[in-house]
Amino acid sequence: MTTETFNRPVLLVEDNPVDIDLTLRAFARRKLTDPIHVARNGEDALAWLERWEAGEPLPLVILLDLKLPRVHGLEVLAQWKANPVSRAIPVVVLTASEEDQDIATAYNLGANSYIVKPVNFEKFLEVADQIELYWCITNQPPR
Amino acid sequence: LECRLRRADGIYRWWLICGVPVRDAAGTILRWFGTCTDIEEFKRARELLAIQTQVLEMVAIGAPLSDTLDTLARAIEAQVPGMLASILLLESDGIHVRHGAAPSLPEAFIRAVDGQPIGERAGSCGTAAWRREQVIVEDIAVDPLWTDYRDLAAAHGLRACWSTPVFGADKKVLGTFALYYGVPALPSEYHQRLIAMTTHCAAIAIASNRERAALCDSETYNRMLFNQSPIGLALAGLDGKLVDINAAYAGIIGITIAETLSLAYWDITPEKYAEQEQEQLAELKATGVYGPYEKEYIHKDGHLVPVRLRGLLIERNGETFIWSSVEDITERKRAEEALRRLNEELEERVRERTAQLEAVNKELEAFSYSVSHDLKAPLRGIDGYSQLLEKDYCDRLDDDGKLLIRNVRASASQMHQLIEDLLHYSRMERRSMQVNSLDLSALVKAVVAEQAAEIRQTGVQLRLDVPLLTVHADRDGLAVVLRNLLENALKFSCKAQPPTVEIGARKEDGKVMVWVRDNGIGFDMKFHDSIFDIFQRLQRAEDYPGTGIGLALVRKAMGRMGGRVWAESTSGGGATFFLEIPL
Repeated sequence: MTTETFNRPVLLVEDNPVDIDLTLRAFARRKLTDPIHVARNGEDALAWLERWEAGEPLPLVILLDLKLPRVHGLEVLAQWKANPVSRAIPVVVLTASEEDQDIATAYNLGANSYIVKPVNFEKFLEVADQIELYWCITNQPPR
Repeated sequence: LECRLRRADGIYRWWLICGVPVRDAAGTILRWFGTCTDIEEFKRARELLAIQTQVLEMVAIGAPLSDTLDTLARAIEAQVPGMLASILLLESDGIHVRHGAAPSLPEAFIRAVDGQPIGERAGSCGTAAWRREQVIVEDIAVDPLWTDYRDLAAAHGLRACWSTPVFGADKKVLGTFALYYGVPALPSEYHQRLIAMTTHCAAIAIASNRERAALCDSETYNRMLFNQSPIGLALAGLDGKLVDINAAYAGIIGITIAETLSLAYWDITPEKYAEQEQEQLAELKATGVYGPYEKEYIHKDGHLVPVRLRGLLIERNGETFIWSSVEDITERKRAEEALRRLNEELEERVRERTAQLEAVNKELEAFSYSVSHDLKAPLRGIDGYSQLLEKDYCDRLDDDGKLLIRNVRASASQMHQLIEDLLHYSRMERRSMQVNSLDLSALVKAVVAEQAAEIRQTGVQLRLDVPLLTVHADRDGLAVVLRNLLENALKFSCKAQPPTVEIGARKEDGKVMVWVRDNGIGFDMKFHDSIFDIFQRLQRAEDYPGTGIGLALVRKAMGRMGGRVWAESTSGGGATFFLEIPL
């Protein structure tokens, strides 16, 4: 563990308060991530671009829901992947949608992973675990 | 010289007198040396011959029958002065006589006889025609044959009447020839000769006239048919020049018959048909017939008239002609055009309707998508929070409390499954079908492989009886069907000892039959139809899990591919589900 990665921010883009709460609780168990920023809609999510450009530390991974108010998740994804500042940040699409169309478009736009949110909380805890372990520990973030 | 001399018995006869003078040496006539020949017979014969010749000449040139018969009658009367000749014609009905010729009979008498029926006592003529033999009445006043007409005859001073039937070549009675006399008399040998010749001539005249009339009538009739035919008829030479046409033909192009005859085929056919014309001409020369084919004629106004032609080669006096029928099909073409436009309109409407349906479908798609998505969010909440409650507060919950929480989670889980199934069901409708050639056996094996773990776990004895068959169907759809049927079979037979599942297939005229059989709990056939309804379950959820969507999916999928599904079962005796896949 280097000082660089001691502070492991994660950006969660999610509009549903229940989902936000459950996700935060799930991630809080392992205490591997800190802080977890939350953007409640597509607009707010895109606003982070300015902050990153201004020099704020990039998140280790972005958890992106697709059904967002103001700007759709896929549009947000497209913009992030088009911007050199944010392009390299790993994006895990975390959504309830299993639709082929969404999966295909997400990957085409450059999503690094696509996970369908399980309704069963136990399963969700497992998923959260895996995400944390993989993206925050195992994976080498871009420099 | 010929002269008529009176004999000693008072009868006049013709004599030919020839004389040669005997002269003396000085040239003075001393006496006459001569012959005197009775040429009465000769003269008569010559005269009869002359009459015959004259009558036959008239027949030959086709003089009107009345003229011919009149000439004949007059000629006869001239031969027997004092006698009146009458020729009657028998109508085709064989019953009524009509006036033929009677140059000297009184007008009133003629009119009275005209149209009378023949019979046993119809005067001399009527009776002669009836009996088909000569009838001689010496004295009309006393003869029973004239009973009905006695007064009529007497009024006109007729006493004797000799009537002879005129026979045609086929022995049919054509009419009668009669001689009347002012005083009672019987015919002499000369009279009979006269009568014989007259009837002979009359027969020829009448028969010939009838033939000519029939021919003329036939000719007129045929010509009328040609002229009045509603279909255009045209006779043309091989060079295309029009020889004979009817009014209908001329009418097609809006000109008179006379004007048309100055044209040739090529004058009224637009150039664009040149190639087709050549083809038709070739066919005509090869087979003797051409058409039917369609093209256009140029109307006098300049517009084009669609026509339909067909024809053949005919010969006349060694010359070959093209005989064609031409029909104006403007109306038909118009109807076809209207029909075509109607079809286009209908197709357009179908396209519109399809687009509408597609739009509606898309709406439904969006609807079911967002509904399921939005419904799942609170479920996550219910499940998540109840889990956290159980985990983080388990020390503060008693067994009952824990049970309550577990029930909450079970309900949430069930709702989740229902939503998933609904989504699945609606996706089935929305998804496009891709019909391919499938190896049925391979597909069955693949679906079975998916359930490998389940099969191993339940110890099911699986039997596959699927021959090498190719079906044309949507792979995903068929996979869903097989998967659901297999899952059901495994599920409902799990309590059997041992559970057996059999999957088989067979090709049967134009279709492929597939069946999935299990030895599980089966069902009562009275529920057969309802088990395919959505969310219909016969068993309790605790005993056999499931939302009841499986068979509904199967039915929908089979319906989409034009096949069908049905089942046979007895309660407690297993079940067999049959599929019919059209080829």
